[in-house]
Amino acid sequence: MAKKVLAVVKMQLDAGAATVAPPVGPSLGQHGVNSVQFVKEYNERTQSQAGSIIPCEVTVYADRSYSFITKTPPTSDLLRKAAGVEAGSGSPREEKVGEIVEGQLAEIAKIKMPDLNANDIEAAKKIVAGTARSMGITIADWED
Amino acid sequence: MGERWLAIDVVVEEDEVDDVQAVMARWAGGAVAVEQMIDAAALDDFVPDGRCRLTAYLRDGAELPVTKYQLFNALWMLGGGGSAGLRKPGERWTEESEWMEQWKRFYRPLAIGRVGIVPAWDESEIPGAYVVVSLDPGQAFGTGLHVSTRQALLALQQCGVEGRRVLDLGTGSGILAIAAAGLGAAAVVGLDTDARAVDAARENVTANDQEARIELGVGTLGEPGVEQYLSQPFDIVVANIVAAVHCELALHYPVPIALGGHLILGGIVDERADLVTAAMAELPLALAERIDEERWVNLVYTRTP
Repeated sequence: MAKKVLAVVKMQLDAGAATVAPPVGPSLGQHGVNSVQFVKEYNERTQSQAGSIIPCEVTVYADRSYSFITKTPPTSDLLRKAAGVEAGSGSPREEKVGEIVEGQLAEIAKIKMPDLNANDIEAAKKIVAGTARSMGITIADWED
Repeated sequence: MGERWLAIDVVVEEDEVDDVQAVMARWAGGAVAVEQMIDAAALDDFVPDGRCRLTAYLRDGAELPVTKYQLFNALWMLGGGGSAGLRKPGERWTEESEWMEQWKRFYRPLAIGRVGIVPAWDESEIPGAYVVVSLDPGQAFGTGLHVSTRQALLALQQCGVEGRRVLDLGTGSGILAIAAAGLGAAAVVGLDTDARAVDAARENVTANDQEARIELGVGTLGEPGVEQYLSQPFDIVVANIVAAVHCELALHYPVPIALGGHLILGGIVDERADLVTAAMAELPLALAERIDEERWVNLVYTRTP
């Protein structure tokens, strides 16, 4: 029989460098999960991606055991890195903060494919381009 | 100890989560959690109701009122076209001492082979057949709940520790060291590079009346300052750490182990097991057993000439 699920918690954590500070400690603690143990396991599983933000989805069961899966880094995080900017634009229509090229767009789309609701790479590129637009990051030599 | 954080909660529809999360992450330095809301009517099943609760955690301090104002303002702006929930976020204080303790309410005695692990605050009667380890792990790793601890403890029992000398590297809460002593080891040395873990282990050793047989120290193999603990060879070395540390320590592992003695390596996630076996390949250690369980791997080696 499948174990009874108590909660599903999603967090975006630093790969290989998560700590028990918020959000981990309070979010998992309230469900009776030992966050020292969770952090050790998350860091061990994400160490090879250190430097990225790796979202995770933690399922807590009624017996307070848990399992988790990791996802691809947030699109905005990948775009910021590709464009070499600290943050997105506050007013993306008027103020552009950076630019990437079509090759970078394709690369990000490829990384994000498993987590996107896209049938092919072209569809994935369109979704990523939408996020870029909302951050004030333009894409050279590419027309949506 | 005792840090205080203000938790700001909003409940929104699933399609609003990304935008709200981005705003919260900006003001809370990434300290944001998203939790699926469940249908309260479905008592026995986990049925998401299509909404999510997002929580941003803001650290208490001089900047808190400003950060909170900016966050509320940004949420209000988002709320213009979205959920009413964004216009009146919930607020509650959460304290480190509280959230680090909560899991303890669900920590119950558990049996691992012949060893019974019992929370220090639990008064359950444990059947006499078990070697009892009373434990308060504090912030240290090693509750017995984790599969890697269970694997290492079972491997210790399989190797047979009675009358033997045991070295426990990365002792954490001291769980393996205390269990080894309880199972009849002649002498146990527990080392950890984290002084706080050694403090936690020391308290547990005292609570279990094992000071006479367990020696604890800060450090690890290959570091100055630990020679005093390693003057005599060990029959069993158990290291429940992580793959990367096993690889770093590989060359040092065979040194303290007596010929024919055992090395138990735990805490290895399955995708990194090959790295560890490769690091051990050229050393005077023969792989005796490999156990795979719930994506964790435990390796037992025998010391060869």
